[in-house]
Amino acid sequence: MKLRDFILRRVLLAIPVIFGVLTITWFLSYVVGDPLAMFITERTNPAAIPGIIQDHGFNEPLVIQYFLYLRTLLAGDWGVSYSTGGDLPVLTVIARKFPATIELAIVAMVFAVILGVPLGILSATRKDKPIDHFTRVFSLAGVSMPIFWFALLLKYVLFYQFSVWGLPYLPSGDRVDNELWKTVLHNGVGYDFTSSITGFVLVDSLLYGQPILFGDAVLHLIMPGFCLGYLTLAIITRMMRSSMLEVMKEDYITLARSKGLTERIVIYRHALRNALIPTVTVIGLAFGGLMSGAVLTETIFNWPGLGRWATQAILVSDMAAINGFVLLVAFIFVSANLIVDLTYGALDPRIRYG
Amino acid sequence: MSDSRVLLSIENLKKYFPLTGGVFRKVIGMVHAVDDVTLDIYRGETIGVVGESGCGKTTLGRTILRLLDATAGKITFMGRDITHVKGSDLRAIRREMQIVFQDPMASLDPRVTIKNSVGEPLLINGVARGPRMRAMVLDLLQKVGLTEDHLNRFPHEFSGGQRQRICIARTLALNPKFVVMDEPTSSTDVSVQAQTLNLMKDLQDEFGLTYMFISHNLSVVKHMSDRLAVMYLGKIVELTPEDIFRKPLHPYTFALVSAVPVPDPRFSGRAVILSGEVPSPINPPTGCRFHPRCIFAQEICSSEEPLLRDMGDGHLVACHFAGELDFGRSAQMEYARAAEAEAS
Amino acid sequence: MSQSQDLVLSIKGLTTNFYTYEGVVKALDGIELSLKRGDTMGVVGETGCGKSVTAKCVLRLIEPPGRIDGGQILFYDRDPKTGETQETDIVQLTPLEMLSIRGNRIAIVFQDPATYPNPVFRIGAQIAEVVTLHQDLGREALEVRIKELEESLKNSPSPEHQAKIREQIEHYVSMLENPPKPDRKYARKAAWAKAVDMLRLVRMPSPDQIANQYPHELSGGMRQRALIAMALACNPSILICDEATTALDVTVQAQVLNLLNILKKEIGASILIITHDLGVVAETCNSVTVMYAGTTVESAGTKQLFENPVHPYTIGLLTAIPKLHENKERLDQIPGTVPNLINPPTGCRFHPRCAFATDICVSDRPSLEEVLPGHYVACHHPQGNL
Repeated sequence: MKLRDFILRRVLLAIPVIFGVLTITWFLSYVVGDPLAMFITERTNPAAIPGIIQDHGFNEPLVIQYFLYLRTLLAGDWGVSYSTGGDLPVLTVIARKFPATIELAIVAMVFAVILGVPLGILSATRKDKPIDHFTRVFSLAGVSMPIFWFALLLKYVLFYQFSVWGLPYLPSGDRVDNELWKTVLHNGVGYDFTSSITGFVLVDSLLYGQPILFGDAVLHLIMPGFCLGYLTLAIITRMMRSSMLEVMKEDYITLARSKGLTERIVIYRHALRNALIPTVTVIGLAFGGLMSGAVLTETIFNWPGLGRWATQAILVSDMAAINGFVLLVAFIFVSANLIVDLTYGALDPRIRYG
Repeated sequence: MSDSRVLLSIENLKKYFPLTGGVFRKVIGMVHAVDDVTLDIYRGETIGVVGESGCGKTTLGRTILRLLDATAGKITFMGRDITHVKGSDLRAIRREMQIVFQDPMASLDPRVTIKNSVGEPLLINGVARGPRMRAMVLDLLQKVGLTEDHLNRFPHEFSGGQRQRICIARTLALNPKFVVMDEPTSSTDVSVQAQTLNLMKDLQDEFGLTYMFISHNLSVVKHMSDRLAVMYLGKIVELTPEDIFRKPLHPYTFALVSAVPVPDPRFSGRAVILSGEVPSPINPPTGCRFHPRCIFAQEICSSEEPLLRDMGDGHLVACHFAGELDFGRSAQMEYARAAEAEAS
Repeated sequence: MSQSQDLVLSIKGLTTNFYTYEGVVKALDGIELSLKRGDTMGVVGETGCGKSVTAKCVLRLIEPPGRIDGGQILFYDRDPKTGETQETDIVQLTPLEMLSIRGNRIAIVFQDPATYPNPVFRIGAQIAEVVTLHQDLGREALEVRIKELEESLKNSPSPEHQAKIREQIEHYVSMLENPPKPDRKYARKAAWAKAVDMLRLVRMPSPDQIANQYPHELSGGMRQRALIAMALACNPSILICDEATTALDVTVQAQVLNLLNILKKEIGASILIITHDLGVVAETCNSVTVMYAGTTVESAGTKQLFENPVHPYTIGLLTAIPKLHENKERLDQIPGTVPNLINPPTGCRFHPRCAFATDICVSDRPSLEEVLPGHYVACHHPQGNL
């Protein structure tokens, strides 16, 4: 009952945010910018331009234009992106690029959470011991190292040097080794993301029933995944450490100890859940950030995701693509916030009533 | 009301806090923090306000000082209606009315020296600055038992009792007429508490102050006050100039008084054990608010709200049966039975 | 001091220091305290006197930078079945050995019911946790299982089915004599049932419902009852109440103290009540130990101490509190403030605030002497009627 109200309230609160974003993007691209740019390319016949203006109502008053814009958006017409080659509808491009980004984001997040949370706990429970010093240096490096530099360093060592030394080395980029896929699948194209089953290489390779392709996909994910996850890992570790230290000072920890529980149970049962509450915020927002594409990592590892597409679009003023990207990112962040709030409710019984 | 002895008078004062809930955060109820309180405070007296948490005593103090806006009612200070004054008028009135809070550490800025902390009101109100301010601050500090070398120190260099004295000094900087003491000694130790209480009495004589002394500690309030108001769920249930502990007339006062642990084994074990808990101030009980927990309650108590009646010598009680009740040993047994019955 | 047979706790020369950046805080300096079996003893003193630190030492809950540097905490635990008493020096126990005493043989209730329960777990789960931890629930788990089967017997459709259930019941009943290790599911149920029983013991209205609630859904008084239930769940030999009623309102405090007085008779634990409120001591305890700045200054029966206080500090403490039953224009005050324990006063730690202090008080530390039968005091110039 109360929980339902809480969820309902949070979902309803997301609506005005989405509208705000829609309005701001509209304002920037239709009022400040030139909306025509979204519908014409170098190849558009100049004679057709008045027709386009007429069709899209660009000669109407702004208020009418705003509602027309909302209507076309809701109808699923987000314009055409010409920077991808082949003038595809924006939604189609997103549908093709998004899985690559999601896959990378998930891997990065798994790295970050699986390593970050335990490292944070370890660091907090062994405060000022060697492991704590190590973790602090490790996470400080994570937040302060420029990601492109770190990515190049990884590539230099794990790809170039390893291959020079004759060691097994990691691939330097791309989602798959397409030659390998061609050979295994005998289809002449290799991994074709336009006709793939799910768009997730890890899933598709298994669906094809080819463990060797799955292995290939994993190898390709290690470097970009770790590179992208390192920053988040560092943030999670630091957050986890500080909130754990905070929680360990709480009275209920003293009470838990006074019951005769072992330190292990005190930490993992009584402290962890409370310490996770602030960490979840960081995790959620970082995930939102990862999902909206990582420009530098995707560029360096030649990863065909949203980030690289958005950069391309900006470089050639592909307005429809930029617009679509901004809207998508807004949706992702709103949903990430929503999920964070709901997780709060699940972790902390006091919040549902707040 | 034109009684010149009255410094401050409150008529039918109400302070409700809205309570929101549901998907759209609608106002779904009101917390009746202070509900229809009428009280005259005389010049030079100390009026004690006592009650348990949630009874509205702190809200009452803050509403009187205009730190909170009253929902309804009227506050008259030195013959002037101050319920709705604003801006510079309000600031002028605030110079006359001050407050001392429970936690002295929280009410002193840790990065400001004692001289500047105590001198701040002088500076803001343009009373004094520079060497003159220093001299005035020193004078105030000496009055509360501190010395010249404390002037340039910071709050963390003092003990809790000393900090509370610094707060008192700051309160007195503008020569107020009326001071609300909100649980001033609740966070100090017994031996320090005695020092602070004695100091407050001395200052009252010296400055001709009128105090409103708010506390949950009955013994302390009784020690400090000339008259004592007992609050329960937003209302004054008993107001008396007499020694309330010798002659309580309201059943709640009786229970409250008896519940105070007496530091004397000869008097121990006399506590009345009330059943249940204080009801929610969102939906206070009808009629007399104490009736669900009162063993003397009759039908009238749940239907009709008792008003404060003068039982002689200004002893006001809000109970339908004031003066007719016998708070003997049998009453205590009756309460014990009720509490035990409720538990099982 | 007295015969060790009837003692349950005897603290001798307990010394605890905290090694901070500002210096070594000498929090406890040779504490002496004896708790008789079945007694309720009050430990009184002001902030920083070391009363709470003593409680934490007894449970070995002192965290770094604190350390127990000397003395003994002798705990005489009596086996409920055999009646044999076993002497243990808590200071010497390994952390692992201590786990089986903490929360089991010695339990504690802390001051603030708002911050001590874990906010994210249900009340029942928090009590059940300590039950599962220290008790072998073999028998209780079987009983739960039998009860469930009896329940299903009533709703059973066919006679064959009923016969089958009866057979099962008999099987489990036969195991009651020598119960095996319980399986997890039934142990959990048994622990929960025990938690509900404990809530009932502390006179909680509708204990089933309360067990399912979270701490924030209860009032302060209810939460404190729940914490008392938690502490009593394993029938401890010693219950320590560390300012357990300080944060409560007067009438709620009266309810809780009354509860403690009733439970005292029901549970047979010895109780240590740590408080700054002499009123609470007078209401609940039959003996008192007064502490000042990390030392024991006086110890006696409650009546004896209140009627004839001997140590100047105790006298000061008793006269400094405003009392309901007397009218006094001014309170007697103890001059000065509680000393800094990094550089405590030499000799008697109370001498800088004491009206009777002489040279010997500055140079020599007074030892705890029996000045009257059962009345101990550490003072060179004891007052009162001797």
